[in-house]
Amino acid sequence: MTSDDPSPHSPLRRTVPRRKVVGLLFGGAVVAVGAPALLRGGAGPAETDSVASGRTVLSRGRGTWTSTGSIAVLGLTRCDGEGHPGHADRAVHTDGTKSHTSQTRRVHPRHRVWPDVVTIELEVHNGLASAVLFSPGQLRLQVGPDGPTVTPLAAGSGPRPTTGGSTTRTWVSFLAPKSKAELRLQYSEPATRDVMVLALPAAGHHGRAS
Amino acid sequence: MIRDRVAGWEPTRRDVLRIGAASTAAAAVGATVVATADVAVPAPAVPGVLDLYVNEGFVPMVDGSLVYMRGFGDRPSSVDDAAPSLTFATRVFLADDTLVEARFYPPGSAEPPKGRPAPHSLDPSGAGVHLVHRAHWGSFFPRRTIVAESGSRLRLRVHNGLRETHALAIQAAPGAAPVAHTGPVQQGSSGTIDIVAPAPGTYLICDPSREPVERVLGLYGALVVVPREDRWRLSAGGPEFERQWLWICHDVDPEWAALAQAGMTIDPGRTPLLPRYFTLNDRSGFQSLGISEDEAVNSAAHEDTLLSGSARRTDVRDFSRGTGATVVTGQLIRMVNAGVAAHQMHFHGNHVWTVRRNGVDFPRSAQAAFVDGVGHPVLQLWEDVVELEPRDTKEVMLPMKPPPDALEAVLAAQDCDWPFPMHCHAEPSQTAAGGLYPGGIVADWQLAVPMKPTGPGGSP
Repeated sequence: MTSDDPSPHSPLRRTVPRRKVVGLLFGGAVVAVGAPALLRGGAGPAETDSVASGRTVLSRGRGTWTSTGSIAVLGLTRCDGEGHPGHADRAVHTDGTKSHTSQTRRVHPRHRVWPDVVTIELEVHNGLASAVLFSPGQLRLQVGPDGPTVTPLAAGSGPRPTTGGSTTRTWVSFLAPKSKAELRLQYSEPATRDVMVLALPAAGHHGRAS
Repeated sequence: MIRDRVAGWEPTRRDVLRIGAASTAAAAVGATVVATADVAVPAPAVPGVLDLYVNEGFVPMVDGSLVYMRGFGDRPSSVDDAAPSLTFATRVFLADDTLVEARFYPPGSAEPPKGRPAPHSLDPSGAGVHLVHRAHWGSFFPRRTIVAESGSRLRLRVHNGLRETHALAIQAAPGAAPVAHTGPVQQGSSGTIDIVAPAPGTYLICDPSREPVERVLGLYGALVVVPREDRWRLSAGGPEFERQWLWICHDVDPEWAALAQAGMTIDPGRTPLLPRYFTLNDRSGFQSLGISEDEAVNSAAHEDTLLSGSARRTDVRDFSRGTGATVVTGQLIRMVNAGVAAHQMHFHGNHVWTVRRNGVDFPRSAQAAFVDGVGHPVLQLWEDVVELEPRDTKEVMLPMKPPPDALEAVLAAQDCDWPFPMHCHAEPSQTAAGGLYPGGIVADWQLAVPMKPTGPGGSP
């Protein structure tokens, strides 16, 4: 269930700087307008913004700014993989509260090598006027600073368009080893081919062993 | 071969930017710079003509990754489209020159529930085997398929909404002259094909430009030509079948996709192809097996990919054995490899009987058999692994016999459907994203639980 993500080390990324690629597509003038919006990060209320990826971002939500709006990590739960149906998750929110509860979405056969299941709550905002395709596979969990990235185990929904101006709450889960390795969440933007790293809160452990 | 401007397409602000960048190169070769790239205005429909649009967009892979792809769509769409049109709904050119949209053929035949033809009756010659309906059940086809009856007029119009020159060709065999070709179609222009349907068989549809680049990026499909007077046979007088299936294999390389997305030239010598995803009828892994959480995907997989039926005593010496409304034969699989990896389709439960490759029937006698230049025996024979070279087409018959190695006591105890795997034996194609197993070219086929005898004649 794990694999190396070659994209950060691909020949393309080594030989073709992103700025050059974008320049080939849209020209330097567009880059000059769009780059600040692409590179700026941080949380904030919705606001009107400038052009990114050739399209106008009309609003932002919480969390990290993306070329189509924003994405925020709301919480993270780490289960030891011995859960059972109906088992309640406790999500640890980024603001430090521990009040949120939700049902475990599904129970998978225990993976004996990477037994932990990390579930991440997300909020995705589409700040464009038009629909944008969002897929949970745009998110990968990186295990360790130089470690592999992991394909999602499950998600709140499959790939689907998000309507312009909408904010979607969803979740995505990953298998993880029973280790103290640092976890990072990568988010890929297909239109710009950027890979962003999203900060994760400390995990809340539970399950039969907790 | 006629090319014309696509009426009604107007440039957007983005087109202007892109055309500005492209105009220097276009002028250097004397091409006309036309104004379109992302504009969603379909061409005015012409009765009997299938319009296909060369589009681009992002496609979710089996692991959810979004990969840039191109494709022949049935409406114009832009790269920003959240649901780009990169494949087309199945169309049927009937012998009366009408064109209908239907993923089911022949029109008016019985639709097999979940793709599975029910048997006619128990075969009195043995326990647990059946007689099947002759010329009764229709077949579902996957998207990207054009079905044409022999003698029909096949009219296509291909509209290029992308910056590069594209084309559509219909090929009977790798390396052979195409059966039909639009010729190069410039951005914003259209190319046409207007032919009488070629000989009954299976053909690869692809964009041969910058071979194999555009095919790998997604510009492919298949043409199935059916004998108009013999619609349940591969060819007039050829092997008869209960129903037929079309499997289109493809490989996806995100590195090539990223280069294409960036507008860069893909040189296979400098960037060797390394497929990361493998599809069968545009599905992989659990989606291909019809066990996803999307019931629409599951239903389509069962109808157009996953063979299913009741056990029968197929005799490959005569695929038309039987009388009247019943016959004892198998189900025909048409295989098309639109990718670049050589696939090895491996069946459990039954061997398959290989009938034809690239439109040429294999001989049936040892005297006519030979070994080709690369060591393949050219002869109709039983195979449990069917090699499928890039751009090849092959037709095989799945006999749906009771598994030959199963003990009689085991066969007699069957009280549920028995699934058997089909997977590509080229192991990398069983994975996705560089390791996710089994996330690639997999399928299965099912032997239905036998009918219960209810009367002296054996019929329920």
